[in-house]
Amino acid sequence: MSFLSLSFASPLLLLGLLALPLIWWLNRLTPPKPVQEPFPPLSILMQVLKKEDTPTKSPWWLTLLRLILCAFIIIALAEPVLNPRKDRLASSNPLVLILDNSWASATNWQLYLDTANGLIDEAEAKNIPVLVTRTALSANDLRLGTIAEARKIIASIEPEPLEPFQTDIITPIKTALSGQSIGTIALITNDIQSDNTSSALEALLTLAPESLSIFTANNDELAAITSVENLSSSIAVSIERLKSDQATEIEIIGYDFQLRPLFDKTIELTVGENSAAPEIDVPFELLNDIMRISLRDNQHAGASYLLDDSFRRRRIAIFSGETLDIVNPLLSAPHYIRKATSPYVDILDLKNISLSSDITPLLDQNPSAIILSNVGTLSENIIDELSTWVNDGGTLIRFAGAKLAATTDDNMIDTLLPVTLRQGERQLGGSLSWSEPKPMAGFTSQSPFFGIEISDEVKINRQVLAEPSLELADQTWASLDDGTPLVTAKQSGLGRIVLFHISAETTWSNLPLSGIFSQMLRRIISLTRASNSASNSTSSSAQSNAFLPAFKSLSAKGGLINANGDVSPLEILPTGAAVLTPTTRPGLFGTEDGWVAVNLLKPERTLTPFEAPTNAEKLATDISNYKLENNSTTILKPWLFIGAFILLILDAIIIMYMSGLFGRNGLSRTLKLGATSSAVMLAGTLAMSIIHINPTQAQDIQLGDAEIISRLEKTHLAYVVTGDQRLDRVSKLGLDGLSFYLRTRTALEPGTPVGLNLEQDDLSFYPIIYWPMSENAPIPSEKAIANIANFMTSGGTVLFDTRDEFAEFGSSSNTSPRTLKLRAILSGLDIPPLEPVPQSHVLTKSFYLLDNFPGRYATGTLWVEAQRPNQDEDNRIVNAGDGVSPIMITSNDFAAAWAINASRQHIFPTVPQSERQRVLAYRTGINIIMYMLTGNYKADQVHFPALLERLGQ
Amino acid sequence: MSPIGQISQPSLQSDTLARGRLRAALIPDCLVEARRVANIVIAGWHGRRKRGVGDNFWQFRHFSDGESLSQIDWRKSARDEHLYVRDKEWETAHTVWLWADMSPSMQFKSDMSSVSKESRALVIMFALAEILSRSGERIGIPGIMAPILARNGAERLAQALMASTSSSKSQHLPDLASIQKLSDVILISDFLGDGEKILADIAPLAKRGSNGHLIEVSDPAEETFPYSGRVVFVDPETKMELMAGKAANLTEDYAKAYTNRRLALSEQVRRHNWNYATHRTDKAASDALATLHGFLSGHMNRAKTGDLS
Repeated sequence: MSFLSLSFASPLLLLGLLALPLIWWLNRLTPPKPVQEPFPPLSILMQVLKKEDTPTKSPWWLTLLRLILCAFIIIALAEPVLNPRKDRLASSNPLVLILDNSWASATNWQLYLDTANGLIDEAEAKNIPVLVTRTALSANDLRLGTIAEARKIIASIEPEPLEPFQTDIITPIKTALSGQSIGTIALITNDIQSDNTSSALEALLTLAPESLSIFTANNDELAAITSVENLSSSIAVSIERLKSDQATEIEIIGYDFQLRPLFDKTIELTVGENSAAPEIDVPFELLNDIMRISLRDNQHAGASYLLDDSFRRRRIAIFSGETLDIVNPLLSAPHYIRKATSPYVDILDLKNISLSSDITPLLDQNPSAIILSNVGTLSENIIDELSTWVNDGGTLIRFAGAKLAATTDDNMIDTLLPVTLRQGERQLGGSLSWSEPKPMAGFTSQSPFFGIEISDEVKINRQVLAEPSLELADQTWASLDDGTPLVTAKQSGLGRIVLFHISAETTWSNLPLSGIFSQMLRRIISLTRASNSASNSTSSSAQSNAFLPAFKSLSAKGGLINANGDVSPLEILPTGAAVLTPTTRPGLFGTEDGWVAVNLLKPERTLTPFEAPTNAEKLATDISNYKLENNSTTILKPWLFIGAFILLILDAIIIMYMSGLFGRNGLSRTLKLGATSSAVMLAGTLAMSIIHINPTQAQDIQLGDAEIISRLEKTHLAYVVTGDQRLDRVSKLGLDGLSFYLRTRTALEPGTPVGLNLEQDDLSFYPIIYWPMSENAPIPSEKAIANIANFMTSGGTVLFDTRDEFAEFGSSSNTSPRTLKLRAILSGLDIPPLEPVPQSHVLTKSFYLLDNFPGRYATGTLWVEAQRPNQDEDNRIVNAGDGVSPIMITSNDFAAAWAINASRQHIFPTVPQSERQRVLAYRTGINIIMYMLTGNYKADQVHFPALLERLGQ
Repeated sequence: MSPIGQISQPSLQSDTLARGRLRAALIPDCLVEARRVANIVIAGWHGRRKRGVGDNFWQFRHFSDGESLSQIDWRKSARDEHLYVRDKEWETAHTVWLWADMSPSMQFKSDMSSVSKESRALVIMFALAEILSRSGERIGIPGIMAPILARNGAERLAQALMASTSSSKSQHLPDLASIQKLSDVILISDFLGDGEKILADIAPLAKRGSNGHLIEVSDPAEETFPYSGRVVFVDPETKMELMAGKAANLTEDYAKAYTNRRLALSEQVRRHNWNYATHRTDKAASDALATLHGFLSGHMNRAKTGDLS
């Protein structure tokens, strides 16, 4: 049933309109309920009221309103539809529906679906079988199916980021129809001509349908990127657009891998201009980060262009040899390096990776560069790994420092340094030097730093010096005023080793504070290879074709999505070229570490409007063209319901008015009532929600927590179990004695001493580990050494005791076997420069005032990490070395002096025998423990009087 | 939607003990209020200002022949050669009959005023009783309390009211036959009952020469008719119902009818040479008292209507 372009889905319901008179009659019978009012002068009112006519009936317009309301509801239930579809199907022969799901359809895909569903509705009305196919990724097993099946297929079709008609769609249709003649072929397509469109249309006409209906969408605004060329300092983006009959603006946006927009450029296309290739100036550093270039307001795959691996962000790792870094992170060298590089590199997380252990996990992550700041000694296998990595193309950047300057190991200098260094550093402008701090010389044109402007304010105070050699000039990238090299580099295999002859923090020079430092690092890192790219790894593997798995796919809307399993891998020829088939989906292939980008549009692709075949070509077929527009059917049902609802509200208001609700106080009373009821409802809802709150789950206690807590509850002194049983017993008793003394003399109440197995135990609970040397004990394993190194770099201290009073540590002649053992152990550790405890050291005043540190023997020296020279403040009482020395070495056999038995009697006599020396030995122990626990607190306390004076107290 | 008017709890009822308690609770309130009102009015309340029988000295005057010798004030006369007579102020104890309507229609109270008509009527009556007994008049309630002369006349009146068993359910006036001539009668009611009957009741009294004062207490809602929409009006006495489809349309006609009825009644009352005054419950009770005082002291022109509203 349809008339005046209005049709009803269930016209029988309109019979309900006949019931309107009945409703009218009922409505007149039931007037609104009156209010009861007591009224004493009723007799007077009675005289007046006689004049009034028919007060019990509703006014006629109210009745009319209600009748309209009912009519609305009845008509709405009959489901009227405005503008029903016209008859577009030729006959009762099957309908073949071809849905163009190629890339350009993605912008207004809903229109395609609506049209397709409309056609299927029509087919349903006429009971015509339907065959649905698509132009991109067409399926082979087509079936002439029912309406329900066709709807399901259409719902499952999505636009694909592919060109249309890349595969044969004719043969499957023929197979599915198996000889039946076709009534109508309906092609719903975008109005873009692709390479195969005309041939595909011709092939369709060979199927000899009775009619061919072509529905084309409007894609006037469509524009796409066909290619992106990487010029040296800019990129050229080739843009094509479909229609050139009006001027438009196109916004080009470049994104990095995290989808952060990096540049944004708007170009204007005038009338008649179909394509443009604007060059976009992009900063040198950002250029590398661009991964995808998109056109704004173009929601299809053609408007996104993916870029390859060559645009990748570099990733670096930073190692530092200094323990102070943990205490004062903002003064440390890695902090300066990180700040200088972080805008344009990713810094790798070095958790659980340290130079003392295994760096394979780090190398597995393919860093572009590894920065070693002030690292002196490296273990053999690390050197090997690093050398291999550099030869394979890695870039090693090293910074000098006290440790590097003190390194004597010649082997390592050869392999991991670009030049041979002289031992020690050159100090400029110090008290023993005639020279002034030196400025930098300008960069030569051979230097990669050429072009960076240097500043006179940059002054170098200290540097390490290279041994003069013939190649030195070629290896120098930057030098000082007087020609001494500041940055040297060496090609090593495919990689490169770069050495800054200064440290990366401010004690040696103020270069790290200047912008030049950041620019220099940036230049070096931009020289590094991006990473082991996907194609590199495959090309090195074999001569046969390699396959790259899909990593990210371009969605039909032009966004990047994680590839699902449907996407077939990309085949790479041995030459490195990718094999592109028509069904290769655009996207990134490879892994996160490296990929090959496949784009949708070929560089030579131009966008031309769709050309429909004319009737002249095939007279047998009736060809009709439709525009795909959004003026299709309007369903009136919801609007009628809304109208009925509005009338209902209106009616309610009128009734309230008629019954005098809006008189004095009436409304406010009603509102009050409403507020009360809503408050009650709210309270109820709240109560319900409170009831539904889940009880919080108790955390389950992990195994071993009790043990950890017992270790942390009290401070425990710890010693290394060397394997020499007698020695271990002395260590235990010695620490027992010291603990007892600490309890009696200080506020510290240590727990029982703990013997540690360096390989297995977690060392991080203990502030200090006492490690006596024994010639009988076995050399600790690699793992034990790594553990100890970790412990030291994370803030712990190891107190080594060689227990040989006369053959002292440090004197090269007459070395005792215990000293040799210590040297063997220390050779695997990264040890800072040492010095005997100076008089200004905190150790001399952390609890007792001491000037020497005797144990069982009195003459040995206690060695600690050398403090930084502070030239300006020679006259200070205490040198406030921030942090605590990670290492102490003595030869005085502390444990033996401290050792007491169960009845608290001393076990070993002191040498020479003196009670005073015993007391001093204990005091030494207490000072050491206090130094460990309080750090530079005592050093700061010497300023206490000055602070008080300043405060005026 | 709650109605505008309501029937308040009766201020006086003697049906049951509970009602009695309720009344007992209300009457002190009315008494206190009445005393307050009386204090406002008493300032302007004066004696009769003429010579007569009384206790208070009024004036000395020359003895004229024929007067009783006993009236001569010898002490004054001994001062000179004239004879003086000591005159007293005329202070005849006067009988004033008070009556307040306590029928159900009086219990009406709309939300335009704060008290019911009955409550206001009682307050006026008690205040009047207070004032009159202070100035030495005899007060009584027809059918309930014989006239008495007492300082605490108002309390006595209230006690009598509480003790009375005859509850006046109808709008009829009390039995006025026992009232002697030359006494004042003050009737406080809404006078919404049959006007002819009211006139018939007061006619014999007027003929006998009593002075009468009628105070019509009305609720503002009864005068202004603030109703709208569909309303069913219920008479509180007869329980008769009347439906108005569009009550707002009636306002004008009703107001006219109401005023006409009032004018007609007051005209009839005045024809008996009695006074008729109106009082609205949203006005102060002292207004009504002031009018009544004017009536009682005779300063006001009796022919003129004392309209307080």
